[in-house]
Amino acid sequence: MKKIIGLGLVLIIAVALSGIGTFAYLTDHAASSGNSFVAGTLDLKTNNADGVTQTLYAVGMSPGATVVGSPTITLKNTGTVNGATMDIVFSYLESDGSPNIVNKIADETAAMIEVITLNYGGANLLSGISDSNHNGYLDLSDMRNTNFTGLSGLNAGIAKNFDISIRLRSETANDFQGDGIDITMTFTLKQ
Amino acid sequence: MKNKIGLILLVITAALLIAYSGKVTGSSFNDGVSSTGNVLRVKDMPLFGVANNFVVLAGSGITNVGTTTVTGDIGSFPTYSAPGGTITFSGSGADHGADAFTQEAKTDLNTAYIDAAGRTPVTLGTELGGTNPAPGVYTAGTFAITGTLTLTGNATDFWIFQTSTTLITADTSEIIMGGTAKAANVYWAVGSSATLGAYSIFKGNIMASASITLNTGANVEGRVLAQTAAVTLDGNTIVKPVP
Repeated sequence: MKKIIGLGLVLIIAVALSGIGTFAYLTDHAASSGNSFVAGTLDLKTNNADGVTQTLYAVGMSPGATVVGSPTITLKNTGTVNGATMDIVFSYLESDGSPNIVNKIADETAAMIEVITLNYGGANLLSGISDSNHNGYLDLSDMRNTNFTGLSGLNAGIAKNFDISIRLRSETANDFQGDGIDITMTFTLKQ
Repeated sequence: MKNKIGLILLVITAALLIAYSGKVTGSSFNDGVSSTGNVLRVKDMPLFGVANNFVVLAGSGITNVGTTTVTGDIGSFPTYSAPGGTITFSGSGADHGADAFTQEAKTDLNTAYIDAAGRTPVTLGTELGGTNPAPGVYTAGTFAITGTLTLTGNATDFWIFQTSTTLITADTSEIIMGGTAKAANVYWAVGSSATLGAYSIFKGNIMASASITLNTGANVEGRVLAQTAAVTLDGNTIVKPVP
């Protein structure tokens, strides 16, 4: 009897280890179809890389100026299985320059930066943003507070563009001189 | 004993299955990527706040003869008088008189002036004509421009000219922006009053403690912002600079 119990324990541990091994292997490389597991890959790229930097970058913004630069990110599912939905999360941290006569916190600075364009796959995401700080326009603070989940996904091999453009409000006052934010935009493709 | 062992095995099996299941559904079928380093920062120059929308601000009224063309708002607070002549608003702008918008703009102008006038300067001679000073902060008792002043730099360079008294430009004098330098980034913090000569071409934002006079045909790419006294116009063109 002891042998049977021992054999059972060994079997359970073996199955568990197998599962962990499979988990490690399947991270970003697995698919679920119906009720059975199907081998494949789910691999999201930004501009053909695993991340992109400085899509929006301006360290001398003037009131009323629209940031141009290269505000488009191409998102592509380079895997072999389809991604059903996309989530987009925006966050930011304070990134002040010097001199900084009066310190404005990140939320205050973000509220002075109006979002002019916000598109994903040709869909206008601005309509999904509410003016949460009630200043009369849609800004980066409002964008950060919006839950962009369940957006249309990417089938295998398919790419969609994400576009964003912003401008510093013309009425930005002297207290904002040298104040800045550092924005992170995270895209998650889900099966 | 057998029952206890069986129960333990059941618990272990269930725990492992739950753990296994969580890892697969929680991690294996998502892939996330990020866009980082998106730094947006306001320039380190005087900012006009609400006054940014104005091309003409005064404290004791605006007077005008002939036809003056402006692109941007005008107003005077606390004292307003109808400008006279014809003010043509090209593309954008309105006469705000002495309304709350003008009052707020005057407050923001004062803040910007204190900033510009308070920065540590390098002393220059009075005459700026024929010179090409590098971007920076400069001061003199009074500044004059005869002939051509050239300001060469890039789009983020700025110049602040501080005077304790006046700024006077000669008739047909000219300021030329070189490279990609912008008139929007040129500031004149004038301790008393500014006078622009007839048919002169001027670049930058004049912030005068007292009055500003534009003689016939003077052309400004910038702002004409007087704190306490009047702005006098005479068939001028004043264009809000590109930010």
